[in-house]
Amino acid sequence: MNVFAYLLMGFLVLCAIAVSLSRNLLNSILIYMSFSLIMSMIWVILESPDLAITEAAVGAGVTSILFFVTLKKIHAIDEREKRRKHEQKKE
Amino acid sequence: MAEWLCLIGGTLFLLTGIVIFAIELYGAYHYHYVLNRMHMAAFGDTFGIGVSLLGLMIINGVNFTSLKMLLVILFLWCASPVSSHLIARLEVATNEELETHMEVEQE
Amino acid sequence: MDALTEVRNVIFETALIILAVMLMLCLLRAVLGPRVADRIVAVNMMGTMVMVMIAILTVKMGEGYLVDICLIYAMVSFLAVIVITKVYMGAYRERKEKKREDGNG
Repeated sequence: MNVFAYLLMGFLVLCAIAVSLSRNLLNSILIYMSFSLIMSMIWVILESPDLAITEAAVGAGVTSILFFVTLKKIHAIDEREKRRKHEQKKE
Repeated sequence: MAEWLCLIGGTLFLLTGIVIFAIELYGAYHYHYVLNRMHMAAFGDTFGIGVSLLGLMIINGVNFTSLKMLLVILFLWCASPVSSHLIARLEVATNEELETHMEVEQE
Repeated sequence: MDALTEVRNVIFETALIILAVMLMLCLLRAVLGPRVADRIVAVNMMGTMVMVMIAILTVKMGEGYLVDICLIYAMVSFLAVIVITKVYMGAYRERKEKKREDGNG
C-alpha cells in the first residue's frame, strides 16, 4: 500500500510545481483540479472518508468552477487572444 | 473454493477494464483532433468503468457496497453521453476553421 | 486463508499503480491539449480513472462508505463539464461581439 502512497505523493509534488510553471491560466486551474483529485485519493488511503469527500467536493468541484467563472470575468480564458496581443507588442 | 472463483472472475473483469483504459489513453494520444479524441474518452467512460466496477462487484460479493457501485455505473451511463454532447457542441460552435479538420455538409 | 488475501492485495496494488501512471499521462494530455475542449475531455477522463481507483481502494480496505466518494466524483466531473462549456461559450460570444464592434467601429 505504501508504494502506491509514495507514488501519489510524488505526483502531488509534481502537480504543485507544474501549477506554478504553467503560463496559461486555464492550465494551472486544471492542474489544481488534478492536485485536489490526488489529495482526495491520499485521504482515501489514510482511511478518512469525510475528508476525502470534502476535498473531492470542494477542491475539484466548487473552487475550480469558481476559478473558471472568474477567468471568464477577466476575459483571460483564451490563449489565442494573448498570443495576438504578444505579436502586436513585438511589431 | 468459491472465494477463489470470485477473485479470479473479478480480476479478469478488472484487467479488461484496465486494458480498456490503456486503449483509451493510447487513443487520446493517437488522434490529434478533439472530436475523434472525444469518442475515446466516452469509450472509457461508459465501457471501461462499467467492466472494472463489475469486476469489483464480483470480488466484493453481494452487499451494500456493490449496490452503490451499481448506482455509480448507472449514473455514469446517463451522465457521460450528455457531457460528450455538450463538449461536441462547444467545439463545433467555437471552431472557426472547422472545415480544415473534416468536411461539413451545408444543410 | 492468508494466501487469498495476499493474492488479493497484490492484484489491487498492481492495478492501482498502473492506474496512477495512466492518471499522470491523462494530466499530461490535459496540459498539452491545444484547445479548451481537449482539456475538458482530458479532465473528464481523469475523473473516471480516479473513480476506478477509489472503487479498488474501497474493496481493498473493506470499508463500504468510501464508494460515496466515487459517486461524488461522477457528479463533480459532470458538473465541471457543464460549467466549463457554459462559461467558455459565453466568453467566445463576447469576443465575437467585441471583434464585430472593432470591425465596423
